[in-house]
Amino acid sequence: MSDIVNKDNLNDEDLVKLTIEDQENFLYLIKRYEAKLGRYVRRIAGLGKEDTEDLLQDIFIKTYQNINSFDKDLKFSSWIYRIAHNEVIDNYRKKQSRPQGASFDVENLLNNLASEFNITKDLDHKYLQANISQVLNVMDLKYREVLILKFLEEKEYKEISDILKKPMGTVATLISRAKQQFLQKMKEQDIKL
Amino acid sequence: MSEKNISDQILDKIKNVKPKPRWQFLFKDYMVWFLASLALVVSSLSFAVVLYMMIDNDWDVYTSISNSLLEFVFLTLPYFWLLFLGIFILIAYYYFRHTKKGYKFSLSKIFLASLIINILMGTFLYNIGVGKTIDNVVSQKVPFYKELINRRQHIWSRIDDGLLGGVIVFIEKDYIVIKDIEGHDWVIKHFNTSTPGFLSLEIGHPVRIVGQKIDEQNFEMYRILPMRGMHWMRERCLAAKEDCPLMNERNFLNTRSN
Repeated sequence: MSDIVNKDNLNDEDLVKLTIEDQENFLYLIKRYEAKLGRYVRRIAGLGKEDTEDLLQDIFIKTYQNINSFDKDLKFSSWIYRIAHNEVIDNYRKKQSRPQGASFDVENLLNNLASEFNITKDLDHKYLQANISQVLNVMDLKYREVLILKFLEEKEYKEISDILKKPMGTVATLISRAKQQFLQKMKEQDIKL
Repeated sequence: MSEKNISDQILDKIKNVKPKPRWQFLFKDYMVWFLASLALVVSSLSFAVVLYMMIDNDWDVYTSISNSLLEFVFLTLPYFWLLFLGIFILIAYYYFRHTKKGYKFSLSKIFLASLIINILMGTFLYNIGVGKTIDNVVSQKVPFYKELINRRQHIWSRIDDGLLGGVIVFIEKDYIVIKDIEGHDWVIKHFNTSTPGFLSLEIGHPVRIVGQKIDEQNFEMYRILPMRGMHWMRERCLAAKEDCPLMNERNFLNTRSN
């Protein structure tokens, strides 16, 4: 038990080293990222619970298979989010269907978007829950994803750049365009903030 | 399905899975770098040929070839090599973008860096004669190159337009004989001629002659100039037994200063 506690205190990069030595140690990384990645996948892919879990399994299996390619110059979280991003895109292409029905943590989203979009926080949460989720669901995947990474996953520009494998300047442009599209879709759907 | 179940399921699934060995990733990284570098070298070689074809062009007689400088530039631009250069810059970009850290750099930065490397490496290769050698070798080995790609042969075969390119095969007191690119002999009388002071007529020298066709054997010469570029014409030194000098104005000047 004390062994588990010790390993729980290790950083991601040390756990990667231990995983290479012993497969069992991968469990600590799974535990650490299961919920985060599950949320991220649900948010960007808008899949149902079972599909999300299947995708999550694929992400972890791919992570394990490619563990030797982990670049120590990157944060492990950026690397595993990158794998998740690629899996979601692959899944999206395979199914050729637009993700639907994802619901978002509006409370969190509002806190982070408030200053960006001058959102009045005392608006009805149920109203926002329904409408903001609806707006995010109809946004282009590339724009929805950067908004989620920036405002829900609260990633820095550099991390987003590492996850999406795009230059920082392109990430800034994507975020700016994503905000514009978000506002435009809100307008189109006559949603007031 | 609980979270614990997912973890267990993943662990179960990877029990029979082995991580891909590190050497595979390293090999892939090195291959990507190798291909990016190779594409840069090939594009630099193309740049050296472009430079060679642009510098050793007929700038000194462009008014006899075209109606304007612009028309001359469009006529003689090395389109094939420019296309080749462009394609290999794109290939270099593609592979560089696929290196581990390639995504951090914007398109414009990668292109600018490629361009600078091309200019530096291409100029160096041109200066050591690689551009000339490539054009020369390709001219001799690749069918249609002289007809379609380096079209200066075509320009200096426009005998009806007064442009005659060939090798001196016979020199007499008051006439010379030129074997043209197609292998026909032309008798040229020395009149109306403005020959550069540094040009001494020697058998085996490839020359450019601007003048006027008189009949199927005779050509009136207004100007005679050493051939620029088209070094494959040295092979046409039919009458000369000794090694023919490479012909261009710089060589002539060097010979004279020696």
